[in-house]
Amino acid sequence: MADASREMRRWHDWTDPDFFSPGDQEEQRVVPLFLRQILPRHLQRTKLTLIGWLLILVALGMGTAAYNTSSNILFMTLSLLLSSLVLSGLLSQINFHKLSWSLQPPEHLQVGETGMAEVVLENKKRVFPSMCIAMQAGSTGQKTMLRLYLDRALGAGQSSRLEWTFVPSARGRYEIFLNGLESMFPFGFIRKVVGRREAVSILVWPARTDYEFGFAAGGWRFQTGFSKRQAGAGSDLLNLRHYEKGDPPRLIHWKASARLNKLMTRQLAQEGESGYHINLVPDAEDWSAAQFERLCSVVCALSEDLFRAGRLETVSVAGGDPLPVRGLRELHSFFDQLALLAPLNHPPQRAVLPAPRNVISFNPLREGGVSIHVDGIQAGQA
Amino acid sequence: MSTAYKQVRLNAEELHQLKQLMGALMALLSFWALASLDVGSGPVIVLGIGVALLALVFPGFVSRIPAITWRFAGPSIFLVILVDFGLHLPEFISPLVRMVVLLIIYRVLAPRNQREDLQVILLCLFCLVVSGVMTVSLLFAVQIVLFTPLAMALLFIICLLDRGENSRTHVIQWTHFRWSRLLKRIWGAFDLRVVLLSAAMFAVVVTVSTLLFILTPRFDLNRAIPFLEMSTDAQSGFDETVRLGDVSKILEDDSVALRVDLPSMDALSEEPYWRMLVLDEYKDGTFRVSDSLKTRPLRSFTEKRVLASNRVSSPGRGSEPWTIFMEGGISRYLPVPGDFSSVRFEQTKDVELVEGVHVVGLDSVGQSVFSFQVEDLQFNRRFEATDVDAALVTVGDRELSGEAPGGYPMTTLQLGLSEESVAILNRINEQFDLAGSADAAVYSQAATDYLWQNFRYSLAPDVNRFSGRDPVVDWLENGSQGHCELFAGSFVLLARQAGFPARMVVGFASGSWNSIEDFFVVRNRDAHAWVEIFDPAQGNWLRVDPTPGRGSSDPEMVFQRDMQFESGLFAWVDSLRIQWYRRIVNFEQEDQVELARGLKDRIDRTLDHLKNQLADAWRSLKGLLLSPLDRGNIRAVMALLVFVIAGVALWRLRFTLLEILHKLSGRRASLDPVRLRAARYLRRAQTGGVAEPLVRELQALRFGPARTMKSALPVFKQARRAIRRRKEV
Repeated sequence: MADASREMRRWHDWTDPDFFSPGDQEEQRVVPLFLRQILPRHLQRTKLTLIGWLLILVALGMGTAAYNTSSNILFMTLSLLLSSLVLSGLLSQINFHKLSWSLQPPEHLQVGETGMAEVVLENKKRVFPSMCIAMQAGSTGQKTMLRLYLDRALGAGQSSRLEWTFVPSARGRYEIFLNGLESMFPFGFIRKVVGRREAVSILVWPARTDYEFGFAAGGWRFQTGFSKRQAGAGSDLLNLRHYEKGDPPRLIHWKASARLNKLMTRQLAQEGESGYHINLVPDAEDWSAAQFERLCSVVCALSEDLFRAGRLETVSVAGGDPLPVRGLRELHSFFDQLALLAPLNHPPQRAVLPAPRNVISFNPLREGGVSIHVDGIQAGQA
Repeated sequence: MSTAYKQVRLNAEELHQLKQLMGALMALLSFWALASLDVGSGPVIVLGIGVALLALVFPGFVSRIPAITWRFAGPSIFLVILVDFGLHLPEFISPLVRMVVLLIIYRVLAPRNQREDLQVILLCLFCLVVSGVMTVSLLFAVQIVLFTPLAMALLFIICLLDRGENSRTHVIQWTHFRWSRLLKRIWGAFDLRVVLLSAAMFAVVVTVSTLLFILTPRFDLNRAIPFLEMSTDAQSGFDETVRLGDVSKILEDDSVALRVDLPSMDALSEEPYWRMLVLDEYKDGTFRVSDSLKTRPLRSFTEKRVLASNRVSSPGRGSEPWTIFMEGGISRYLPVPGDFSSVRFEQTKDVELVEGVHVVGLDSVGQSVFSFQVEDLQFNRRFEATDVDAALVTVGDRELSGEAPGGYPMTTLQLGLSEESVAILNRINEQFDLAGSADAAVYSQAATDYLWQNFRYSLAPDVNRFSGRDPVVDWLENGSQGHCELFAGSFVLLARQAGFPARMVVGFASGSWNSIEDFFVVRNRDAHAWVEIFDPAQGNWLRVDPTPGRGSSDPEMVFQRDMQFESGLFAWVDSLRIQWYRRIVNFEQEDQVELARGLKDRIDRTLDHLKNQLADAWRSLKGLLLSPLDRGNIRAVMALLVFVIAGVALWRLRFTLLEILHKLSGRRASLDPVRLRAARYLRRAQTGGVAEPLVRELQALRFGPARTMKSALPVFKQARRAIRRRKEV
């Protein structure tokens, strides 16, 4: 099965423009290659349609009658039928020529959220449009492939986007794929597919879930002398930036302005509130499978809310070093970790750090619940 | 810079409407093709045309037919077809045509989706092919040329509308349909590019199909299966029984009967008499082929493709064979002016050979054009008597009596007239001044002179059919004007009464020359009847044409009429037909071989020519090298040097010259070659892969102040490299 899947991914037959290019063809044995061209079965890239089969049948009948009767009228009709086939191939080739596409998955996606992927088609030809383009798209867990149609001609030099939506049902890796471009252009004799199967893998974060949490459980709301790496009205210099209209003159950094010959303004750091430190221990002994999924969802939702409130300081998973969360990039990186997180047997415990307080930890509750603790004191549950 | 389409796009509903209307057009095309068949299905075809027109003009009306109708229509039509076949078997072509018409009517009226549209296309193709094979007419070429783009456009629309299974059950809305609106939208969707692309596509189809037609291997099939060959009745004047006036009736028909492809016009040194049928028996104003000539042993039946004859002693008219194309429904007898060495048919045919009277016929009268080739064709004025005619010589020795019994050749002496009529003939014969000669030619001239002096040619003869006497004898007694059959019939009776065996011959006389494609045309109006009289002295049959206005009364005198030339639109259309028969219908293996030989000869000639030129050049070079200081050589070297220097200078100054030309021509600044070239590179750089600074430089060249080509060249060079590198990546 795996072989078939691999073969499918690598498959390209002689109608593929890259077929004869060196390096692409991994199958070197003559007999399998020959058989593959004759009996491509489900791996074939050019399929005859109903119209195509009819054309072949009519042409066969016409040819037989022509040879048996020596009638030039029949030979003439046969020639016309065959020439229409040649024209069809020619136009089909032109249709796909210089037509490029790329698959663009959504940047973020959570379980249960509707995601939208898009295919960007670009016709790089200078004269001819591309028409009747369709493609088969799908994603992990979808039983049937979705057929997307380009409902208009793509003029020379134009591009277009085709979108489709999907809803992932579990966190983790999620694959979106496109089985090349296909078209029956111009007369519908053949359904020709060009390009290989293209797949993009994205990480699906845990779903958001409702929870209860008392933010001020630790009682440390403001902490002077502790600045955050966020712009604000504190006293620590965070950054220098170009002067913008409305900036108070007292914030102008005269020395830097003189050096750069441009007005530069000081950007000061926010005087900090005390933040939370999330410590997640995915111990397989403590968490059942369902509870673990819920745990991931709770952690995801809580960390996002804390971040939005500006109170998430660090995150630590399975005894790893606490990672500061200063921006969205770090938060999304943490979510990526959550997407792939699996329960561990005897995970390393996080070393007790003397400085930061407000460490959030999680414990299982009965009936699949999750309790949230701040410095060992229960502060919420889900 | 995009070359995007700016025009109107038809929406899905309009495409569906267009598809439906094109289906109706295809139905009309099918009925047109079927209408050219003479199979007795006229009323059904007329009904079909009416329905197709209705569907075309009022599509909304057709769509209002209740859907339940179609549930019963299919089985009902099937039943009708079964009954029709049952009633008419073994005749199947006529019910087959009716079946196809009914199916097309059903398909035109009933709602159609993809599969039904395909059926319409297939049915139309079937109609065209059947009609084409049966009629072999040029009309088939016109119809297939119309069918091809129509079918391709229909398939293209089907392809455009294909959106999976759901799109295949579309119900068209005709509520606000108006032809004018749809045509306006279609017109809006057209632009020059679409027209040019369509024309190019059509040219590709025509070119490829022509090549395929020529290159498809043909086999010399001696036993080709006759496919859809239908027989019909012969024209009234060319059947085994010809009544007075039958031949003259055809004279009113101006259509073409024969087209003759002959080596050149010089081959027609005398007026041809296209001899088809010999009528030896006469009774009560009717000439017919006697029973003895219809059956063995005088008539032999054979199945042949090449019919050889050993009568020709001298080479025929022109070295090449003559190809005769005979229209369908004329006669089953072949029009041949005289003896020949062989007759070659397209396929093996059932041939009936009446060798005794030099007549060749087929087993039936075809409906379509039939062609055959004749080699070493002679224009006989005298036909050799055969063994069959031996009895005439014997009878001649015994001084032929008026009433000779038995079959052919005695039938050529029989009169079957009353004594009163015989007396009239005798009285006329006695008026001829033969000066004691019993020569058939002398008698023929005298009889012809008599007829010419006493009667004039007219298509409105004054024949009294109710006189109780034989109509020909009565005309001789009381008439004053008549057509060719009366003249020929009178001559036959007079000759027989005078003791000369005589027979009537029908066919065509003369014709005209198509000067556009150089071939000979014989029309139905050239139908004619004349006489052959037996000359016992020479033992052969002498052709005599007693109708006035056809040369000399002396049968021995060679008569060359002024050739009539055909030109103008009708002649042009007719020349298309002969091309159709020459190049398409009669194309065969020999033509392929000839084409291949011609191509080989041309290639050989070209190669020889090139070889000679190279040899000449080598000789010149050798001469130059051997004696470089020769005056002529010095001159040649100097000329070459001047030429090279001028070429180099022109190449180096090409941009300067172009700029000068641009300034002199006073063209707009935007048409400056530098700007145009920059625009071209910008267009190509649009798809990415070219660095931004380079794009800006190109934009500066395109839209900025005017620059010289010399200063712009490095930028163009960089752009070319960048674009090439992008391609390689």
